Amino acid sequence: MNYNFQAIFIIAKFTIWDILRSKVMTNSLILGIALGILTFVGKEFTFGAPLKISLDLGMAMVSISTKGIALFFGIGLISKEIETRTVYMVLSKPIKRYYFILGKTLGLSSILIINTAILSIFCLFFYGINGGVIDEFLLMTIVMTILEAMLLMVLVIFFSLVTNPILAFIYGLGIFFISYGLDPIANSLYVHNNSGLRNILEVIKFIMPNFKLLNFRDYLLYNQSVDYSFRLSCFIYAIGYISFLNIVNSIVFSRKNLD
Amino acid sequence: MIKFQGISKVFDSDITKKAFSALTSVDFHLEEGSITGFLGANGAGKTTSLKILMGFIKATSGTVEFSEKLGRSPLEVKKNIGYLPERPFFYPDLKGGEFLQFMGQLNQMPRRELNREIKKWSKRLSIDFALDRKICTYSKGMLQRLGVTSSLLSSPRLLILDEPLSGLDPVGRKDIKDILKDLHVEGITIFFSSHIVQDVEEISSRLIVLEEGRLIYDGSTLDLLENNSQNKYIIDFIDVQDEFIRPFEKLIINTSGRLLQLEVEEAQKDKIVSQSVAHNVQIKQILKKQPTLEEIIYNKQYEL
Repeated sequence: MNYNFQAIFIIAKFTIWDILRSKVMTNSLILGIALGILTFVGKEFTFGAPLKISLDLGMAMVSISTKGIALFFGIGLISKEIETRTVYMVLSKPIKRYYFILGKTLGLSSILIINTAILSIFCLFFYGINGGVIDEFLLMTIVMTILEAMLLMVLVIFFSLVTNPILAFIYGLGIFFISYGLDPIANSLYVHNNSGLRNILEVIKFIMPNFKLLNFRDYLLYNQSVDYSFRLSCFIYAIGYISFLNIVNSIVFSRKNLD
Repeated sequence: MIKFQGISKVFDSDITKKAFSALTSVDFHLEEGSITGFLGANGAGKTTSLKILMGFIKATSGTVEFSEKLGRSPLEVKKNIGYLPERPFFYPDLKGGEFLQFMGQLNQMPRRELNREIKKWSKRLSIDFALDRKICTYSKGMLQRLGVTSSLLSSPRLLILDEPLSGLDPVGRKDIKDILKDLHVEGITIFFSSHIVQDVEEISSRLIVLEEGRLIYDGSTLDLLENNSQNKYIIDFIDVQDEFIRPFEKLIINTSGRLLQLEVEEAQKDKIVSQSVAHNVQIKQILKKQPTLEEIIYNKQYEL
């Protein structure tokens, strides 16, 4: 029998519908309007840097909103299906278990892209009317924001498969913040002088997803140049890590007892 | 069609709970074209068995074998099975029609055929009027009808239904029982669990009964009833005279107003009837005493 890979896209399609109907996109529109108001108000209180404020606020809102969706919807994406037994209806159909998890992940990833696109349009609009120039690095920063949110999403899906939703939230958010804190810790004098600790931190940095690597906002806001090879390596790192976690999630879910 | 062989399931212990055995060496097989009721009290292991059957959880020991008529690969087998879980919950923000499209598309049904089947079964199950509504607005009975509809869309050769009649009103229960009877006539193999014995008695020709994770009966419904039938009769009299009843006083089981009820052995029955004719005593009815399936299964005094 042929593998029904189309099922992945069918599951993704209905996941998108289900999430869209839950009115999460209303949240994006409200945030977009709030962004406009904030940009306007913020501009009045800044001296000489209205463009930077406009971009900073906009990118922050895109980032927080997308990561919020990744975190909260990611936790329940599979665990809620198991808890409510909808997973039984779907898995009783002629599909492999990993089709299900890949379809759900693809569906939520699409929502992250749609949400980022909506908010980015608002952000770029307000940035543009304040005289900002939309260049290729700005767009790359937005793409990396999506990848950062996707990485967070697959990470919390993994934790939701092996623990429970509350712990998945704590672990996911914990790793996210730790990954941002690792570099300053590794560069501290104390760690620098302690070779054992330095090695441990190097191992942790190698294993843990590095969210900071995917965050180009500081480079953008402070007009720092980022060479193409670094951008490409960050992009490949994100895609690689997301793919790796998707494979791990598929294996874990395929072997999971759905009781 | 299915061989469920030596299945045991032990749920492992953790810090908060002890290990417990949900199923112990359960063996049964489902014959092609049969309609089999799966009975047992809550917690007897019915749903666990069905989850093992569908591959949602792994058995601790034992095997499940599917007939090649269902398919040679697990995906082929699933294509020929219609399944309804216990207390199904659906995507609340999808519409009923969208959900059915979702299930049908996963079954790789051609669009035209899928639309035709949705129309046919949703009408038959009286849920067609609500297909344009979000599932979160459905009542419990409507959800059950939607679930049964989705399990029937792909014309399965085997139907596995976990408590398909729960949450339904009498009309809904009758509708689904009629559909199951019709499908049985068409040669579909049906395996359904229930704790409502009357429903099972009404439609299933075969019974599998679990008690505390062990198989306690696997056989014909009729045989079980026959084996437990008694050679006793209940005779109801109206306006009985004292001199008539005096010899049978020990047989009285009930008196109520003008009514008097005797429980008699088969051998005594004819004698009492002829005497009542002689004494001109009116007999309201004579019934053979027959335990119901519910009494047989849940009362320990009967033999399974």
